[in-house]
Amino acid sequence: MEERHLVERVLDGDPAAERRLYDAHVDRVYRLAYRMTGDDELAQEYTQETFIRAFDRLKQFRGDAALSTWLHSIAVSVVYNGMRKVRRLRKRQVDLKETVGMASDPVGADPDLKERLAAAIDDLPLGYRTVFVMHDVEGYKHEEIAAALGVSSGTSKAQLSRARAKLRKALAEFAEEWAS
Amino acid sequence: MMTEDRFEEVLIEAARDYNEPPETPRELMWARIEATRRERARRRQQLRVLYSPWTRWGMGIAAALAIGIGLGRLTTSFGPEEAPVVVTPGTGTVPESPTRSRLAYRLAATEHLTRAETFLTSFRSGPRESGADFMSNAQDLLSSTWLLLDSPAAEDQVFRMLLEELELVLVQIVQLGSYEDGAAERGIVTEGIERRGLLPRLRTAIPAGPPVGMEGAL
Repeated sequence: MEERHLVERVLDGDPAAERRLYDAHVDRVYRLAYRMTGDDELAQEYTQETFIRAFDRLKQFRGDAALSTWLHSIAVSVVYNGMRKVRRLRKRQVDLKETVGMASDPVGADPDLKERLAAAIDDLPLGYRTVFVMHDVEGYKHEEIAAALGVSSGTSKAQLSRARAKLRKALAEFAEEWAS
Repeated sequence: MMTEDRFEEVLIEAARDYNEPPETPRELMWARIEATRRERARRRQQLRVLYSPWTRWGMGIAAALAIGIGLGRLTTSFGPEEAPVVVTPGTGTVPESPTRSRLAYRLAATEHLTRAETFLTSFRSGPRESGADFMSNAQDLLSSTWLLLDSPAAEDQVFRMLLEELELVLVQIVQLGSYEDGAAERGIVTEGIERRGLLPRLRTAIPAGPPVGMEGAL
């Protein structure tokens, strides 16, 4: 079914069309939310909120961009917002652990490459991480990322380049191993 | 020495495992989406019935936003046809004057948007604003935005959209304080503000006009 027709049917209150719209886009939204959070519960929560907002705001969708692009701009907003709260909570938890001397990471442990990479990605500023995850991990195009973040494609490319540079720096000690 | 191409190749390969998602729990999420939408619709309906005197909401928000009575800028784009729907149940409740309740809400919304516009202008044009006071202002504005988003006021679709976009930008700004090199993120936030036309839209929503009988609003 053509996208515009599907949107019209949803706006007319057709529940089957709502479900169809959801089915068409839920995988990508959920995958992005999961990649950004690494937590199934949070990813579900953010995915649900994305679709709830989308259905509430569908009248605002003008059709200038693809529906998926519009949906992802909502998803990014929801994830950013949610993660801000989660970071605060986790920081408190880490502070508490440090206070009582219960840090869980074994001292002197040498994490393998993928663990180190994951940690380095986690440490990227949120904007860099979003672009990196969308492009290099989930395969979004720069045009899609730019539309979701409200920036130009050039900015998206620049952010990706900076993100990779930061990762390269963070993983410098593994360079030889990676090259082999 | 590893070449850049080789690095990117290995990086992308290794990054595929980063937070690898499980299968999408479609049915579970759909059931929750439906339930949440039903619940929110029910609550909105209750608000219409129980909160018909909008003044309570408007004045509550106004207090939270520390509105000055002498603001003198009480003009918004809400026309009479956009007045909140007031359902009067057969409970003997007499709704307050719509004019008065609209006025209180307008005051709160206008003040909020004015503060947001001032803040974003300062963010965009100022030097590396990231001091504690600045971040505290961003957090306050974000909290007020949520308050308005959760209020019946957000039923106005255009206003809601403006608030949601403001929310995204404020969240990004608040996040800047979380990173050592947060300044590097400023560019993307500033560009987002400009491309969304957020400042002109805020200014349009708060036109400076003649005071509108606000003496009776509070």
